[in-house]
Amino acid sequence: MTVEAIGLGKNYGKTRAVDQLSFRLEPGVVTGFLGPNGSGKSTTMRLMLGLDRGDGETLWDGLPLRSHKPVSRVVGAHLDAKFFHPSRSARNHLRLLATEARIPKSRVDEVLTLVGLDEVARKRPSGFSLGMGQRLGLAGAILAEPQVLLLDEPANGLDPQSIQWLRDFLRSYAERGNVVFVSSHLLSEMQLMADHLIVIAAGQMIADESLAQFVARSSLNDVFVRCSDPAALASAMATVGVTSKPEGDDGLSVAIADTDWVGDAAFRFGITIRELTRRTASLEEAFLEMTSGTQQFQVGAPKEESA
Amino acid sequence: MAALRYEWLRVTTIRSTKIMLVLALVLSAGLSYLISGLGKGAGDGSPVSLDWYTAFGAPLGIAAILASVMGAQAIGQEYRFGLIRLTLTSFPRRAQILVAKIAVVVLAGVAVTAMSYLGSEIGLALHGQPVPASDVVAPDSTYFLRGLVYVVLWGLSAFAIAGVTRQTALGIAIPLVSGKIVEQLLGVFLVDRAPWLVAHLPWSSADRWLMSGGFTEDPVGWAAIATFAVWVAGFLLIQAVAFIRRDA
Repeated sequence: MTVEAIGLGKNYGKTRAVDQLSFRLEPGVVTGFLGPNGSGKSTTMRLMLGLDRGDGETLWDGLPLRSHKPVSRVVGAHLDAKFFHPSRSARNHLRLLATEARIPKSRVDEVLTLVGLDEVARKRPSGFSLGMGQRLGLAGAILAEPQVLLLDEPANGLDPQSIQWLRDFLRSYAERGNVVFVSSHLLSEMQLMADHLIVIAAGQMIADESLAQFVARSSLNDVFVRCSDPAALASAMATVGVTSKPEGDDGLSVAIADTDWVGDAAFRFGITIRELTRRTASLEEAFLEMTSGTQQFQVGAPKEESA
Repeated sequence: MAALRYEWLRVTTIRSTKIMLVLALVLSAGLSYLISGLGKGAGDGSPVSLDWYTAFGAPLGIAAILASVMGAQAIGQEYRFGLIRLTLTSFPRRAQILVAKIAVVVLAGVAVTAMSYLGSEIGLALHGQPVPASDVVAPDSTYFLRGLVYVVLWGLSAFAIAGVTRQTALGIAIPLVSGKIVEQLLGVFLVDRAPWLVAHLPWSSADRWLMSGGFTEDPVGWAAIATFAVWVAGFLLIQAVAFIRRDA
């Protein structure tokens, strides 16, 4: 199963929330979906599922979702941790979702055990914590063992153990040949989980590439050098068009990712190297750099406390 | 059929459905008990005539309100709790799920009506049957059918309004306030100036149908229910367009 989004677009009044987004989701891969708040991630997911009306279409193995039957075997979606009726027990909630694909009750109980909700299966979810709501939502998404999992911020509210469980589960789910498409603001988690990234900002595509490629594009990838004469090394770098900036007393940050090249250059100029370290940007650093200035809802600077 | 099974399970796995049915039974029993008590007469203890239609018809008013609660909840709660997005992910063909919802609202109306009649019978049995006036015939099966149509259409009207507004409360309140207050006032003020308008108001037409005479030989009653049915069909049509075209 492959999923192909073609020219997705959506207006809210005069605001273009999603603008001509096209991408392809491959099986066997966890694809992370990143973007600042208000960038259009949730709207994109709803457009893919046909829940919101907009431009473009999404093809699931070449067909619109409505052409598949049962739909639950094609896609399982978890869009919000609070999408349940407060007086319908967790088990009945899943029984309801099991109806379309005629999933047996034994599978409902199996999934409740898998997500750790078996002890509260017959309780009303009105008192569930955010984490329990996430588990119930995830249980609903995986109930029919769909070929595509589409999850919007599934890690919100989960404790560290549950986040680790979720990461391992999604990776193994993808390894079984399924499509996993997951949005999250927990970038450190995404770095451990995703193979591929789709990054949007203000409804527009910023990146559609592997996680390694995305991080490699960051200007924060550099080589740190501690040497006998940083000024001389900086001049030497400048002669070949490589920028650098001083860092500490005897350090230099060279805007290049190749440590061998920097070492060879220092040797040619007779500069003694004391430390040579390649520094790679984290996903968070790369993401913040690529999306800077695109955030719709910016946080203010904290007020300085008076003494 | 999957959509119908889904809707059936949806309505039977929430507590409020059972509460509405129990309320239909208990309130109808209580009301018919009180009414039959009036029929027994007071003062000198001599029996006062009371027709059967009052004994069964008054509880039907309560049944209609309970059916409207169930009808409004059938769609309003889906939006309130976000479940509509899960529903429409499983059933992307929206017309299919809308038809299933309408079918379940009709079934809910039938169930509430049945409970109301059962409650009325219990109330009458507990307090003794009312003494019918000499010129009033006992209700036949067509009268019960009349009540059923009344309750089901009332429930559908609430369902449609809740669907358009996406608010359970408005689905319940608009028929109730319009039918029991606004239209009654309009009837008083406009009966001479615009009787045609008064004759074509939705929920008061439904009330006229319920209170009119014989089932088969009653053109006024038939016109009234036809008026209400057209209104309900109109509400449902608007709801269908909104349901299919708007964002979930």
